[in-house]
Amino acid sequence: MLRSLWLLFVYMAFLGLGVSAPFVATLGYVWVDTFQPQAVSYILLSQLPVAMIMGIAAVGGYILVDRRSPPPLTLQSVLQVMMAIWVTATLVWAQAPDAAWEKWDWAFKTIAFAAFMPLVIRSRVQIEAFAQTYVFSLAANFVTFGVKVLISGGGYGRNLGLEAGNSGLSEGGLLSTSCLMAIPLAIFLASHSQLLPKFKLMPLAYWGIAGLALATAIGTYERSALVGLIVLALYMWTRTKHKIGFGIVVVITACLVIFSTSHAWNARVDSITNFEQENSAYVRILVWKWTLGFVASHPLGGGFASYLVNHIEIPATSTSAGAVEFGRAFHSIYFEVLGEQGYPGLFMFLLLAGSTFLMLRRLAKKARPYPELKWVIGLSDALQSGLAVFLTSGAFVGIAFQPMFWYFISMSICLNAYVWRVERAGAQVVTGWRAMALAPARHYPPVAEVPGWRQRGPGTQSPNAPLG
Amino acid sequence: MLDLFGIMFSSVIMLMVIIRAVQLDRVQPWFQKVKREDAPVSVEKQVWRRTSL
Repeated sequence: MLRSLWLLFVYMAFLGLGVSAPFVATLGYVWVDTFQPQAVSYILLSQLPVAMIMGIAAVGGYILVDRRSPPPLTLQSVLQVMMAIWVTATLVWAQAPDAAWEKWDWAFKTIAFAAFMPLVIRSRVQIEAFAQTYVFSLAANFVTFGVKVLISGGGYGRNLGLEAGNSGLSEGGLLSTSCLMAIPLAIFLASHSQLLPKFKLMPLAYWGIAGLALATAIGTYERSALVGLIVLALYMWTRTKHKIGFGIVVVITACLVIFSTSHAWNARVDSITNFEQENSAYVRILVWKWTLGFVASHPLGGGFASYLVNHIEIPATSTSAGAVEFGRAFHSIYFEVLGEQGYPGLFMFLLLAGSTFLMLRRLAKKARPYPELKWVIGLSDALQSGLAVFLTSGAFVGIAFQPMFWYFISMSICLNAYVWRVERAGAQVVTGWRAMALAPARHYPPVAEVPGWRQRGPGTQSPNAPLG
Repeated sequence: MLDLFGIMFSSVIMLMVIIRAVQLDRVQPWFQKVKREDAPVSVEKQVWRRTSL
């Protein structure tokens, strides 16, 4: 009861502050989508369409109050919109229409909202608030989970989080990947946060949060978490300036993990190497083979949840009899996108991930000469590390349409737009594709001199004044 | 109890962050100017700049 009332208060706070500053409602949507208060609340929030209300508040607030300085049109934004259109189009030839509609309902919202976010999240403060909201929305789960892991040791299939069942963040693969992706963001916030008071211990607190996220990822006993963890350590090491210091931290952490984990964890991780004896891993490979055969005859994919039509023949071994299984999930982001959205969907997905990586690297390079933009390099590295985890760890979990990937892409687009605006600071430029399309001769004040959304300088027009 | 602690901890910090973000968003300029150095210009171009109208 206390939990439900508190969550209702937080939800109302987001809506209330969203009236005062529209970008808060967008962050409220990130909180609702990531933390899912309706799933852990017993009254009211569990009965309301909380995401829809927050989404309407976010989009409505933007349209009515806050429409200015639109971002440049980038390949990533176009691909997000194209992906939203394509996943809707594949419903027409969906193999399992009912299940496809069910998944489309949340997947489309995630992609569409991620495409909308760069319109609202523009300044450094807003971008950092986005990162903080994402990390702390997840922290509600992994702080609890991580502490329990440190006390009890965790276990495969043991649900120590807030949500019951085996979906959303109560599913180990999704939870561990989300936590690993949050680690570089928490470390970035430890050194570049503007929004929390600058106590001496504040960076330690963020490192503590990153530690609990790590404990949670290990405590799920997911093999994909180990893969993601190795990639995260390697990638962060390549991006850091303090290679020796970071290397020592990684080695100490690895030793702690090896000595503190139980035999059960080691046995679980060992099963990566002898996959043919391990049913779960072996069935994945069979499902992936089936997917390749399926898209050979359905190159445009089978729509969401097309795995429901598969039947997997598991050959007999010396220890077990053969069997046929139906409707086994893809267990890989690549095969999930391929099987559901076909080759066009996979092409867009890979192009989106690859081009975002390149964009982030280019941003870091561009920002390097300017001390004022040091935080851009930090966030760019954190986002690259998070995406690297998703793209490797996700190779063994079907989480392609979960929010974290799409939010990381959005955050990258926001960062790119920020640097784009800074580059044009001081010059009389027409801002944004929309303004260029509608009013090519119109000049805006230099973006560097644009104050917060509420403070409009003398002579500046309303952001919602008709263009042209 | 631990679950409630996790929820309270994360949401209290998040609300602090959001309130601070709203405050800062109102008083800070959105985009910071960076000190830019002029790009090196060739001798021919300098001469052209001096002599052109």
